[in-house]
Amino acid sequence: MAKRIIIAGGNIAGTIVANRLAQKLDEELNKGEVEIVVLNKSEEHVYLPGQLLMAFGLETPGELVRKERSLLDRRIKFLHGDAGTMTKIDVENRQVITADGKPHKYDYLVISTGVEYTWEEVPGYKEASLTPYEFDSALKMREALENFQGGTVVINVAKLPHRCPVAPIETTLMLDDYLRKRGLREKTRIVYTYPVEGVFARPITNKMMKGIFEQRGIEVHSPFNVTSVNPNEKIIESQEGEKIKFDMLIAVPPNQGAKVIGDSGIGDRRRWVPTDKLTLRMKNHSDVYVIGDATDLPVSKAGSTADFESYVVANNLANDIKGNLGVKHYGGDVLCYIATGTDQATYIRFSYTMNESPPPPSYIHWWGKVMYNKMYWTVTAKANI
Amino acid sequence: MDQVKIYKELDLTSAGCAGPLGELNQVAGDLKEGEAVKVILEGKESKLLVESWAKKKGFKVLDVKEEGKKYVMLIAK
Repeated sequence: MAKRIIIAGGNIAGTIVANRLAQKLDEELNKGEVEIVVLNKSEEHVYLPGQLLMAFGLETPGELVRKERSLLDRRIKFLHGDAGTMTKIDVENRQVITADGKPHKYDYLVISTGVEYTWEEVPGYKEASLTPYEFDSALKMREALENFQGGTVVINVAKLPHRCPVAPIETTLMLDDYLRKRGLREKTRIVYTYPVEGVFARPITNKMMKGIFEQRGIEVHSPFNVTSVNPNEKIIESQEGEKIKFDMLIAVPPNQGAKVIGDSGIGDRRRWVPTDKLTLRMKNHSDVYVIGDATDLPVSKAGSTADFESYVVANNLANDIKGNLGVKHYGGDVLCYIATGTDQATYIRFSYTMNESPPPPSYIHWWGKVMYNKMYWTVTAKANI
Repeated sequence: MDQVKIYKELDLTSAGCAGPLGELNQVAGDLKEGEAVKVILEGKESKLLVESWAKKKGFKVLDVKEEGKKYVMLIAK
């Protein structure tokens, strides 16, 4: 009987790992000895990192969405709608239940359920804010920026960790540049608020970015742990006792793992799945791997993290089946481009054992960021590298 | 000390973009009475940073052990 691998969740992590597995198990798939099934609620695949560019009018909505089916190796089964909406992940009985009531038995499971935004953790937050983290809100943000004529803009990160960790810095610096180019910077107060001291939690990047924020006249209020927002009076309040009045609030909502992780009782209190930092196996479950934003690892919740992890998960899972590939270890690798304006960027590349060394911002790295985004559909998602 | 239940062990020797304090901020915020988070850190600087953070946020440092270059701390509500 064919061994069945279920990939619980599509999008960036699930798609890349599914395609990489198909390559590693090419012969077994062709002979019908292995079956790969991807479960995902939506039929569409949205490239989330591009939403920030869209919010500044630098990317069009159509560029950021593809059919998931079109990205997957043709031999991979894809179920969506009720048939792909997971209601329970039952690791004891090795099955995933979907909203149509069907149990999907597996021999191996890859959990790639990602992140959900828990806006309700902060009263008034969603009503009062715009965010590049949600597709529709990113479009509203584009419109709000087009109509903006000056005032106070607050950028707030509700909680750490969150996905695309450098995006709040990018949002702030792109906003500064965008307003300068429109002649509105002198009429605008930009206030950056962050839950821990500084503008970013890694010391090297923090030092560099703090310097840029200072040069650009951006106010930093940290630590600032938001407790509530009054959407009528447009005031954001922190646990530290600060109140800031704003004209526009750009928010990074609280992140938790997917609801199905909580409902299945397999995560911690924020629904992150306990994961071995090197093998990426779920702790105490040798037939389950975890990838991308779903893990409880203190690594960055970024698309590049999922891409780096996909080599390890695909190799180790294929090794479990074939037994001749050896075990790979994830080294904590991350690569993030950081836009420092609307036509300049730097990047950070680090791992468990190596610190980042960001180069001075330049157009070359901006070009790299744009190309990285463009190549996602044809290269990264299809696991062509 | 005997009464404290460890809610989670956090290996922050190689924290990512949220940094040791970002990760700890989240987990400590989820602690219930009588629970602690076990934190593994590398270097004295990180240890001092966490101690200062705990003091500011009103958390108790119940125990600190030095194991080579690493520090193992127990932090409770």
